[in-house]
Amino acid sequence: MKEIEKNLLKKVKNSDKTAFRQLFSDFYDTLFRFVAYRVRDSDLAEDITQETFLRVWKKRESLVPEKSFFSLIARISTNLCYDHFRHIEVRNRHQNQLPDFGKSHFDDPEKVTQANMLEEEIHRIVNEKLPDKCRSIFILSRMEGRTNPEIAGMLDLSVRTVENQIYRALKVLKKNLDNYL
Amino acid sequence: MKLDNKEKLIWEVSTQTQLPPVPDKDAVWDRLVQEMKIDQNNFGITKKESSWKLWPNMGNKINIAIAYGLIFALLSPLAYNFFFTKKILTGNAQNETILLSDGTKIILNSKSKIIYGRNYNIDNRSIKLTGEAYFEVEKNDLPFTIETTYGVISVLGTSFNVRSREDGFEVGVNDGRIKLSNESYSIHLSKGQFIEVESSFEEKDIVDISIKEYPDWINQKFYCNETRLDELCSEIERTFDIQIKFLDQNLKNLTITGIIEASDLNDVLYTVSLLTKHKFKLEDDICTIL
Repeated sequence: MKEIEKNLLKKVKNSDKTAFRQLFSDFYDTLFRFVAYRVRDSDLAEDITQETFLRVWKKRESLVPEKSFFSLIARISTNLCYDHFRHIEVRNRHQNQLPDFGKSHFDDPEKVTQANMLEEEIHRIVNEKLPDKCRSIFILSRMEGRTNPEIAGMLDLSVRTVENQIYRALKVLKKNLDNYL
Repeated sequence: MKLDNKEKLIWEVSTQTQLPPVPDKDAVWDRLVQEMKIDQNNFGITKKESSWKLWPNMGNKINIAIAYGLIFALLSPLAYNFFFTKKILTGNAQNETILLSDGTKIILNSKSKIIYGRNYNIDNRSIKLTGEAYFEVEKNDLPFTIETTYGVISVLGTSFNVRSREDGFEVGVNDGRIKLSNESYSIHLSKGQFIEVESSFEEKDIVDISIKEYPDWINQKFYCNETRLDELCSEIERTFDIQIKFLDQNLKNLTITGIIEASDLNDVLYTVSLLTKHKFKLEDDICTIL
């Protein structure tokens, strides 16, 4: 775990806004893309990312500087995503419609290439089938291009665990992609 | 890690998902800072209220101490704001349009009240609302907040209607986005969304606005969607400053669906009479449904 992050968290815990801004700058891009991958909507991703940082600030007194900050914000934002999906589901049920979030849909099926379809299926399976921790690690690795030791540092895990989780993700994907491969 | 061909393909293709560009971080930070301020403002209000509740349980000596404390408190800026606030009230059959110093327009429905500090638009944009009002909030650096008994609404710049009366709470957004918070939940409402609750609200209460010209009272209409007759009648009473009596109390439970033109009292009563299939009698300010 990086010392700098720990020091920043200590300062934020004591209501230091400058430190909070630094933390925001360091993590915003990664968290935004992480949420955008999940909700597939730029505006919604922006809202959820902002709300995540706001919640951190509101609960700053209960921060634990020794614990991984990305794990914390990944968890808060994931819960906010679940709230959102649940809300859409309730609304759709109310309107007697089938929920359509997370399903693959193409604007023009004719133009969709095999690779695009595979990419879309991977995206869907990562969102729907992978457990939260496994998904976070897979997205950091594939979408953010982080190395396994980097991810291990970010999430306060052993490199071994990261490797195992990525392998597990690939297994789940392979199993679910039988028709495409 | 040793990968077979299929895994290698997944490994490669999984990086190809297109994500939207990251928004301008400085702008997001500015918005976040405003939300953080709103949070701190609310915190101050709850603290103030809890100290009031403590009073009756205190001993005599402490009461004297508090009396002295009160004198000092009165001299504090907080008390100054408390006593030097502006209040705008409407009675029955009255609507009032208020233009605030920041360009924000508030149309206050009948039998409603807003209170705001003298320092409005200097260091805050907070108002308190009882009753119903339509807001067209100008965007500026200070967050605009509305306190009601059901929760706090915070916005940056948008148009929306708030109804916070004894029988319930209703908020509908015509433009932009707003945030509603109560003790347990914090939810966002976007353009075209609406909530109507009797006590506390949460995420699942959000529905879409179903009527064309929302809110109805601004457009001089009553929209009824399975609305109870007594609810409609209290709205008519407020709008036209009359009293409505029911000969048959069971009638109150009737529900009405439809749009009623609300520009003329006689037309309204005539429509109600048609819908309920009951005649009415209007004497002075009292209307009796027979």
